Amino acid sequence: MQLIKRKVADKKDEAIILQYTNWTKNLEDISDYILGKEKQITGYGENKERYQIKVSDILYFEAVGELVFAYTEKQVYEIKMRLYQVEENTRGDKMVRGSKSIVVNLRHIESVRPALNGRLYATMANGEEILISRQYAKEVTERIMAS
Amino acid sequence: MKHGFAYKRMISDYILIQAETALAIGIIGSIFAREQQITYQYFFLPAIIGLICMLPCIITYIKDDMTIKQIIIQRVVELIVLEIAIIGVIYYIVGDAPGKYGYIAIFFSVFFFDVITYVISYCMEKKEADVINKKLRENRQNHS
Repeated sequence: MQLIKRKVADKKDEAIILQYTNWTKNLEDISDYILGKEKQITGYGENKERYQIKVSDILYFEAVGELVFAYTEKQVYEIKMRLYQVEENTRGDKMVRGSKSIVVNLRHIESVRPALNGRLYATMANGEEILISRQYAKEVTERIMAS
Repeated sequence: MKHGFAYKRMISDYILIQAETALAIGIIGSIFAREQQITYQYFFLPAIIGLICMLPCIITYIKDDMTIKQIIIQRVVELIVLEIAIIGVIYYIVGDAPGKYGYIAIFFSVFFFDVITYVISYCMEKKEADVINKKLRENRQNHS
């Protein structure tokens, strides 16, 4: 891929153009970086060590009792937020409510299968299956179809 | 309104069951007891049957994270209650008129339509899941 830099006279003409044949994950990352969209969230490991986690790396958030956990492909982090706060903070990052206790990242859903009663089982990138409740299945479906 | 969505669904299904029961009473009555005179109390039957049939289903509205095995058990219980309720009501209305084989036929027709309803519902959900999976595959191809 070639990098073209072109000087312009007017400030209002400044722009970054991405020319592509296929929109790849790399281009999406570049686009997110340019737009400053790559959000991070603070998580805590098993020994309470602090991490900055890229929201795009998170497969799903799960509320277990009073605690909220973020699951990446290989790690689990505790998040010091309520699930509704997580939902608000990650809105627009392909995150969508999957049930009362789960916020799921649509980017990492590999496939779905029916779970009866209008619910769905979503297989995530790490092979885990999570249950999308009937109440939220419609929204999840619509968001996937619109993506 | 934590359970608002569940209550809304429950009420809508209850109304649907009442309508179906009223229709079933009308059809069965006109076949087996055409000359039967009915009183005002029969108008309450759909509401009562609807309530009886809803009882084993209440858990499905409140508990949304049931496993597939739990749902199948719940549906078997629901079918048994439905069979008892329908046969009981038919016996209450027309007595022995349908005869032994008539009741066996009613038993199997209720069983058949109940099962076929779930099979159709599963096929529709499977079809929808296939469409979603197709879209997910397309998205992956576009992003790789």
